[in-house]
Amino acid sequence: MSALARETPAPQGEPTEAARAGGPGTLSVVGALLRKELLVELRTLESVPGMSLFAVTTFVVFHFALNRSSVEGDLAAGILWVTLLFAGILGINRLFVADADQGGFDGFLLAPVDRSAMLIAKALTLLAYLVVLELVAVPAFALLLLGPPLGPALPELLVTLALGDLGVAVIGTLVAALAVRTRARDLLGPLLALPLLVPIVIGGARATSPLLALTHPQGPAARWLLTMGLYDLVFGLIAYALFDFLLED
Amino acid sequence: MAGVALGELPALPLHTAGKYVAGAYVVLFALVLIYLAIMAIRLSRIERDLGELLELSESSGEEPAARRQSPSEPESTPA
Amino acid sequence: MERSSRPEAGLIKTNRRAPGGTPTASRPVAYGRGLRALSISTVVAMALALGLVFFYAPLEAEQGFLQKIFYVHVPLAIVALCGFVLGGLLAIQHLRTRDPRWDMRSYVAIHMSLIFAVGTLITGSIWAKGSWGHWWVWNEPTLVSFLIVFLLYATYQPLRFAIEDPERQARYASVFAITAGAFVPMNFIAVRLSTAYLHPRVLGSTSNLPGPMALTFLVSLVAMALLYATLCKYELTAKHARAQVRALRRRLAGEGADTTSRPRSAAPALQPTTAMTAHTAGRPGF
Repeated sequence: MSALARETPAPQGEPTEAARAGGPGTLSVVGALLRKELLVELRTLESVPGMSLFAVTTFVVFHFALNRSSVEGDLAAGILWVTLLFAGILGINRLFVADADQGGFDGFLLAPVDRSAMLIAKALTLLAYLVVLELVAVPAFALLLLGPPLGPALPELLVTLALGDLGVAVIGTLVAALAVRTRARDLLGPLLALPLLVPIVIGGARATSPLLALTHPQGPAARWLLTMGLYDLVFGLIAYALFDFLLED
Repeated sequence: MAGVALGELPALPLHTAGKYVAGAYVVLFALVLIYLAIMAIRLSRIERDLGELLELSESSGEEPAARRQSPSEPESTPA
Repeated sequence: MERSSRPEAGLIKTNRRAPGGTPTASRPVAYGRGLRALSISTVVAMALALGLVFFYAPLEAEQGFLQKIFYVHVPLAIVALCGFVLGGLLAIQHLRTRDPRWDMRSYVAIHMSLIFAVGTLITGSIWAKGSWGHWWVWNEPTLVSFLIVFLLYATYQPLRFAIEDPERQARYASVFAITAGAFVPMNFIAVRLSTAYLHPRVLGSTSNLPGPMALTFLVSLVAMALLYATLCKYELTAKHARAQVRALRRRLAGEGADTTSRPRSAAPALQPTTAMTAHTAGRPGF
């Protein structure tokens, strides 16, 4: 099955000879994979509509659970990040399911390409899903629950969300790949992802909270953005180093 | 030396604080003891298995396979 | 094939040749070697630590006698954290060498650290109750970090159990161990950051300790580390012994005769069965 890929004597994790010799470069492979993923999603609409709908519904649930019509500050930041996190988990669960069930892994392994391309492509896919999710969820949040106006806070909020999305994308892809070929994949995915994403939630919520304050809204403290950025970087590197080992079969 | 140290020891306050400190150290002790118990169960199971294997090897009349297997018994057993 | 999360099967390596004629990469290992010396040093260190804690270390000004929990809670915490990181390092070795014994060591390290983490949480909770009257406090970053770390590593065993193929199980577990091992220090920092600006540390810190307390703490830390090492070695030896018994049983019972009632958490079937067949087939009179 992976005999073809193994024929080229290359150490684990490095580009195979074919790739190095001018076969499809990693970037173009990533582009091809990414296009495939997005096309499939556009056609089947499996993940993104569900994630968005889940987020909006969750806001409604929060309204009833907390018995609040408008939230601000810490509470608003918390609700927003928790909802985005859980909606993201839905996306994480579905990320590799099609590949695992329909042999997508085998096909990919046969190709003489750098295997990390799949990691990058999948992470970018998840990132795209999260961005679309936020395009729906953040306005919905502003409409349904948020007390203070969103407008002035928007640029910094977008930066914070972007950093958080990167973290969720990187860790989500790694965890999804880990969980998808186990028996309890729907359970293990969230169980693995949530603790790993706590620092992102810490950074994101702490950064967002002053943005959404009713009185004296302020910018996010740099240390939280720095924390998130560092976290994204470190785990991006770790995921890049480890991903090959998950695909060996 | 020990006498001096003991002499400086304040009377153990047996009110609230003592309970908690004792509780914390008992937790440590209990964890180790529970582990000891688990190991004891495993050891008795190994002993039982080895006994069965000895019977098995004797009854089947073959050379004890232990001789064939490279010697890998642990050198020291906790006495 | 029986499912288990125990990586014991790869433990048995003896000096026989694989079918291709190439020697197997390992030689027999006696995991128990040195266990006696280690356990004796642990007992000595523990006794010394306890003596120092209760007869030498001075009473702390603010918390009085309650502060003595510090000498059991913080060493437990430090050893558990280091153990988790160690589990990640051992997993790196496993991925590099593909020797299942590294996976076994990683598994035991993580297992033991998880137990120490539970101990940290319980002693920390007791300390919180004594100091603040609540069994849980959110403004003590050590406790909070440990809760998160515990929740993460609690998925280690279910993850292993959910993968049947032993080689893949070991590989995926190693990926997890490395990721989680890298996560531990970063989580600590992140939680520390999030509480630092709310309240000062409540349950004592390890900086600015006066001399006698610092000495006592150091000895307690060493004793706890020795305890960890002893228990890990103990665990490895027991697992190895059980794997040897299994191998022996298999060899005596012959091929295919899967043995008597094994509990569900039994080790998977020994991997190098072909090597064994080649080995036994070459022997006259067997």
